[in-house]
Amino acid sequence: MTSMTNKPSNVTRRGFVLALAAAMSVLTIAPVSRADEMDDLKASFKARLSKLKALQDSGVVGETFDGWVALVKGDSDGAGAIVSAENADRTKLYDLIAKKQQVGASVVAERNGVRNFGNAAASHYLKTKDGTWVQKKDLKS
Amino acid sequence: MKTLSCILMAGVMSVMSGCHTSHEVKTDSVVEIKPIKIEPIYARIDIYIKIDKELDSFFDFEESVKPKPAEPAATETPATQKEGA
Repeated sequence: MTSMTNKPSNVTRRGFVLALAAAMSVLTIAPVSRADEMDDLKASFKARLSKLKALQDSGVVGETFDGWVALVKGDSDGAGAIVSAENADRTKLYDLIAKKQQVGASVVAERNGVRNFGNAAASHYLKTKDGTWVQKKDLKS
Repeated sequence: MKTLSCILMAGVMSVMSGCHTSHEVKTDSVVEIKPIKIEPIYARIDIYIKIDKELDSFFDFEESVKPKPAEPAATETPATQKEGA
């Protein structure tokens, strides 16, 4: 005579363990992949930094109040490509921080705009809210 | 006799309860409650601080190229001359 028991079968138990393992791996991999993405972004920003600063020092490129870089005058010395690459990376960075802090990406962008205005050299061009380019030394706070 | 005293007591009690004075003071005071507007300013500042920290931490490599604040011009002090030199 066979006895009926209410013990979960091996198949059910294995399924539960597998589901738990999958959930754990998702929870641990997500932050790691985010950190990897941040590291890659940082490397990309670092590689471009000297060129970007040179363009800012020469007055070809400037910072905007809403957290982007833009051409002050015409495109020269491949400045357009640098600006595009910088803004593409900034878009990714703003999205990552916005997701983490649960705010809109534009909020992060504007905070970086404030930060960049603060860090700019006196000769650097800054685009204000009214759409005009002014050198930091001439900026009225 | 007992019944009579009870009736008397009841009578006295009913008369006493009927004789009372009441004082009503009516006031017309209007308390105006203005709507309280709570702005989420603290929450906004808090989130700005967090975002600024994230940005500062991310762009820490920029410290090396940050323009240094202008230092006050050093005043030249005349070199002291040794006596007899």
